[in-house]
Amino acid sequence: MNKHESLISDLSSNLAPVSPPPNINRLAIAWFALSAIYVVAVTQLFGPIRPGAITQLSTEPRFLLETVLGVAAILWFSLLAFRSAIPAALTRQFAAAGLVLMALWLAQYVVGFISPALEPSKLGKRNYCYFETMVYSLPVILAGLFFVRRLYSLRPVRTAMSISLAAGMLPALYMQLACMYEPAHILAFHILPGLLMVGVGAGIAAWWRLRHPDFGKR
Amino acid sequence: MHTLGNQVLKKTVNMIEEALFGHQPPGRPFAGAWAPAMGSVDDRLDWSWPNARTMTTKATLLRSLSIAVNNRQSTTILNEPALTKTAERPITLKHESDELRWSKLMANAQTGDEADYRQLLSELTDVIYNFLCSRFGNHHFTEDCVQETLIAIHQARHTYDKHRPFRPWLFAIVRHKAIDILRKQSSRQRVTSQYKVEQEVLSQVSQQNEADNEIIRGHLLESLSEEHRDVLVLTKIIGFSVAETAEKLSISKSLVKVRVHRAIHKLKKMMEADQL
Repeated sequence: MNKHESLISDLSSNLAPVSPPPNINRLAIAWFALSAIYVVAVTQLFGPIRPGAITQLSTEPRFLLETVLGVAAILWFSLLAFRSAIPAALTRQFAAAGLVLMALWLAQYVVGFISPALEPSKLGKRNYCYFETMVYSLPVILAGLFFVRRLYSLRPVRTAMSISLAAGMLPALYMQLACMYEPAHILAFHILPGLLMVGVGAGIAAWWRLRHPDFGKR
Repeated sequence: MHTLGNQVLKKTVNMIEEALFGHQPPGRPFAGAWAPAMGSVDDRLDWSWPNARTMTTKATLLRSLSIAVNNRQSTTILNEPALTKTAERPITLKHESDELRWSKLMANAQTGDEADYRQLLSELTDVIYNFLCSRFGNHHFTEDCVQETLIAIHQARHTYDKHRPFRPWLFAIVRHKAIDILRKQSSRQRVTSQYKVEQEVLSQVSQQNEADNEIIRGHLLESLSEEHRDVLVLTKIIGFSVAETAEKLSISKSLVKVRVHRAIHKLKKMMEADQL
């Protein structure tokens, strides 16, 4: 017990005051909102969105459902990712609900092979949508990792992967409006690069942890 | 002999507690509604262990009693007749009072209150120690884990939100650290003098069961299958290398690694499912 007592004495002497944690849900929502604004702005900057895409949201209920499910899944994953950076803030049920929501959204495109929400066409096709999705999500990932760097993630790489998934899916979702609509194209050129960013985010977190072992741990 | 030793020790502790608290519960001194109300000595000495006699050293006894003294205030409240009608209610109330106190102490610690922080860490040391002992048994691993967890709590103290319950926050860190340390244990293989003796004991087949009982006390370890438990105890707790373990168990080195990996994975699952 003497070992413990001396450790406790060391830890408690000259104790520096610390700020209580920010409201993690608000932080996640702020990151999501700022990221969404950034993705919309940067996508618009490099090319117009598909003609009539906004109108289709009001005239095609299934297209609206797909889009709303996408927004909900990404928002949920943002909350999930930020909550995972604080011990015990993320419950198993919350994580499971996020995965279900994400799967439900992506399933819409698989169902779209048989019964697409919109008539597939090449209208509004962007030549580099694949790379755009990846490049646009990178700053979003870095911003997310920046926000959680001072929290205490018990599994930093997993937290980084969750952030990257949410970040990667944001431009992927917006490409639904900005690029051509065809389920196969969406899955291969929008969703897939978004998913690949999970690996990129995990790689960044792992590399950063090698250089800064305290990453995600104050 | 063990039973006799336990009885003598129980009586001794009982007498000391009677002197400390000025009353003695009716009937079985360490069971029923009174035991959870005390919430300290009975939990900490765990009489059901096969080797309780060897475990209940002077240090353990004194530590348990000091905790009992620390908990005296809550004990007084919990021993109110109206509250001891059921065994569950006092436990809940004690948890709630601990919860509130720890939450308050941590909130003060976040503002830089050294005394409150010291008190919090002292109380948590015992809680963590008992939590780990009941699951893994009393090893060097447990001691290491307590220290690592205290450091982790210190590093993570800014993430505690006083509007959230304290226990889930605490035990999320404890569980994570326990598994983390088990995983890393192989990188710092140690065979202490105590375990050198253990090694000799292990080599004698006739005494192996006795040695196992000394090592394996935690219910989590006990709930592992024998093959997983053997490799985990030999590699992570005693500190044998993979090669030595493979030789002792007459299996290949790769099989030892696979079993260790699976055993840790199972432990992790069990700890995550652990209800507090």
